Amino acid sequence: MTGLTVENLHKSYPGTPVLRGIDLEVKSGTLTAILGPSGSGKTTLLRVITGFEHADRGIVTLNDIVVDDGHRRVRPEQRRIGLVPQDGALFPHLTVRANVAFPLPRRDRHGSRPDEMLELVGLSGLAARYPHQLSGGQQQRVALARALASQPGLILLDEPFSSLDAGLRATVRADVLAVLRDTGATTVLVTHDQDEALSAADHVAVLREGSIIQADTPRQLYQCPVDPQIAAFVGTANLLEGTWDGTSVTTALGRHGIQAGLRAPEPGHVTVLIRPEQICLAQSGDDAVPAHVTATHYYGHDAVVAVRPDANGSARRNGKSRNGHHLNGKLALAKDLRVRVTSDPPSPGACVKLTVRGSVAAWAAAEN
Amino acid sequence: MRSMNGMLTAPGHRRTTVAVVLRPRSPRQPTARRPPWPLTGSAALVCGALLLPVTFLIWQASGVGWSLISHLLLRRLTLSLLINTIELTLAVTTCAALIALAAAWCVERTSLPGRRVWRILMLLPLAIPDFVTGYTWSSLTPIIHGLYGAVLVMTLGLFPLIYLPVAAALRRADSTLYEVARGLGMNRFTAFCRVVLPQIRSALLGGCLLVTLALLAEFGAFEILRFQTFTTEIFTEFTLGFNAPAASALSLLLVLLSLLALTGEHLVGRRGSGRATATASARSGSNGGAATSARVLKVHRYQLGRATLPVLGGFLALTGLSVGVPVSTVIYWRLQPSDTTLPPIPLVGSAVNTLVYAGSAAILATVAAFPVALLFIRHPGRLGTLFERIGYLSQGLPGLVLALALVFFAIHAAYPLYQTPALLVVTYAIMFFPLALVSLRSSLAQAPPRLEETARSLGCRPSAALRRVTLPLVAPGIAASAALVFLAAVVELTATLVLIPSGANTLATAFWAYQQNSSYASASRYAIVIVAIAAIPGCLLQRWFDRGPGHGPGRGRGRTSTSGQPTPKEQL
Repeated sequence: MTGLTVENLHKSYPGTPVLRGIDLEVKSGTLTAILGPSGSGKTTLLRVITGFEHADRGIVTLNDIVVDDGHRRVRPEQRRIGLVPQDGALFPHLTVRANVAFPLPRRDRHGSRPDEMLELVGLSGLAARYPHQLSGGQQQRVALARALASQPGLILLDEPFSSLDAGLRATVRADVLAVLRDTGATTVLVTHDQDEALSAADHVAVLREGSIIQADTPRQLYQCPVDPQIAAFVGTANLLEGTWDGTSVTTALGRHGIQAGLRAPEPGHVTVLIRPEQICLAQSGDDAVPAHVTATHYYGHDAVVAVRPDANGSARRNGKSRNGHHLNGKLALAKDLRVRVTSDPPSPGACVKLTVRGSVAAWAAAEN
Repeated sequence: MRSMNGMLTAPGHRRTTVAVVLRPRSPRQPTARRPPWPLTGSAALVCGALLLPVTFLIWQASGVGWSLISHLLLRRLTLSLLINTIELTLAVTTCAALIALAAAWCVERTSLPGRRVWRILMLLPLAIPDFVTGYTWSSLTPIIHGLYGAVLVMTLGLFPLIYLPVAAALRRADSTLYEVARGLGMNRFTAFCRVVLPQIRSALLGGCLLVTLALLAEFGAFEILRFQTFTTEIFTEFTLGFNAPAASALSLLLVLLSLLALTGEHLVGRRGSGRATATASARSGSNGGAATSARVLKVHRYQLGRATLPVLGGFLALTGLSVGVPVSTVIYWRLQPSDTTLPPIPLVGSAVNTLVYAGSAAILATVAAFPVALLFIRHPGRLGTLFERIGYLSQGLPGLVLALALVFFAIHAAYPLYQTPALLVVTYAIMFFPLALVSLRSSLAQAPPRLEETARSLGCRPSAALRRVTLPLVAPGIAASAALVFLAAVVELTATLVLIPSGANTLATAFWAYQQNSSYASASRYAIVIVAIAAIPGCLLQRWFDRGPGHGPGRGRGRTSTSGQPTPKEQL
């Protein structure tokens, strides 16, 4: 059984197509993140699923019921979607308890269900408060309790943590996800934060310019992105030029195996992805590539070191490395490789040797 | 009419400042959704009715003939009226702006003691109609008359119209910008001029516009102070000379002046205000959260130190002149024996008339404003904006002109309405329509469609969402809008004098009858009742408007309505 299916969904506002053929499947009881930069159509997709916008073409199915086929549609209030909007959207004139009781039929509003829901999100003590007396994180949890109270077939979280302070975000996110896992709710999380998507979701669907570019498990998405832009979008990416001979890839950093599960490109020039944690700083080694440190970014739990391979390497290490940052923008060319280290980082100027562990992802090199 | 009108337009004025914040629409609000036709239809109907006075004004004037009008307007009298008006407007606006700016800065940004009390006292003059203020001053000493008398009385009565928006803007203004400017090496004065003034500029201009419009429309005070303006002249031509052509020619000129002031403010005020508020909204948008907005409101106050006593003295003098003198004079006259030869006008009867007329006007204006406000807020587009602008049209129509246009309308198009209370109520409703529109609009904006959508996704039908979410949030705004119109109508004098059915009396007309007869003691009874009806709810309303959107009365209502619910403990 599937919680939500979207097939070939098209939607445009006058003059601007926003969604161009979305295909998406969310299995019951799982959490799927829809990840996309702003302007990618996330909000529109969400509004079509909730029923506040109508599909031009395509089919939206909720728990095996077609709710929108481009002609006829189920009204928003009959879709049983628990929506948790960006800032909670609690009703300011109602107490926390009355907010949670809001979706219940009149006879149940004074029953025990609202209190159970508040207990579930750990806010039993705040039932009599008003939304403006709560912190941002508490408001989000009340909004979740309110959404869960209606026993929805699907929970939709619309960038629910983006308005919270960075410190608070992690805790609120963990709390909310724990509640969702406990209840076994089918959940769609809309976000532009890749860390959030990777850490929270069972599946991540990357939305770009109105299409789903890749839908995969977080691990697969991180290790085998379908193109360099996504590679750079879901994490720090060292993109290098290399050659693929059908069995292995050769780059400035040596010879690497290719990720299983990746569609192998045609032999020839390729763009290679090496994640920062795949590169090891070694003191010595046969195959190690000499390099020097150009900058160090220390974060406490780990550090990112920028290194530049020494130019006088052997002939096969002539490839330039590239560093990409943006999904939509042009990939920035940078000579430096980013390396993540968990031990004490070397200081700038230090000479190190680089080795690569694990297999890499590679795509046929772009024509440009 | 003026003074309450002013008080009420004061929040109304926020339209000019607040609107810019509200208007940029976030992309997630519904776009390109066509408004339902009953809504469009009723809004169109209302706007048609609002255009009636202007239509008839022009019809009336064209009936007179443009050659006669130009002949009437090119008299020496017109020139002297024009000079009087310009002199008065410049003097009063300047004085009131200086007083208001200083007072608002002291109250909002310095360590002045007793700020909460001053906040209320600064607004109190609005509760006293200007014709009452004029009467008290002129009954005190006959020296107070002519231009100087008018400048004194009107400045004292009108400065709160500038104080109110400027104080609100200062409270909203981001004080960190001032600190940044100081940190960049500007001294206090330069930082004030280059950072604080631009932030409150549009509020200041808006306040000045209100003062100008009030001056153009004022009749009672000038008549008492024997200062000739367009309004007094139109009234004289109409009631004494029955000279309709002259009255309509002067009316046209008066409307032209009002429109000039409106467009002037629009053109000048538009520059910069958008930017200032854009940053403010961007800040609040990016910060989000209740905790951060509280941080923005924290103000570092300027320590007055040794200047405290002189500043306090200034505030005392201002309050004494603007509130103390009128109130104590009215009370003094009330204690004198009756001094009239006129037949007595029953106090209760005229009070009942006042309440009934004003109450009906309040309901009519609020009901009529609802579709216009709803269309504008929920279905933004050209049509909504056009209707909304028409809604503010009567701001530029002085009450007297409006009343005369409706008299003309009744005589020529709806004779059965002539000399009926219905026509008076309709006139009030048209006159104070902007007040109703402003408060409805701001309260509808507080019930964003997003909340309604959330309610629907939680399983509410549209009607249930309206009943359970939108109405509770908007109800206080509806009440406020009705109260505003009611209060404004209670203290209205000019249009009432023109349109009151013969034989009937309201508090204002009864006061006027005695006052015209120099029966100060007898007039004072009616003045006291007017001030009592206007001041108390007026102050309450003012407090309502002073609260931020997060602390509106909606919350208070919610608390009372939900407190009856059993607590979890009781259920266990």
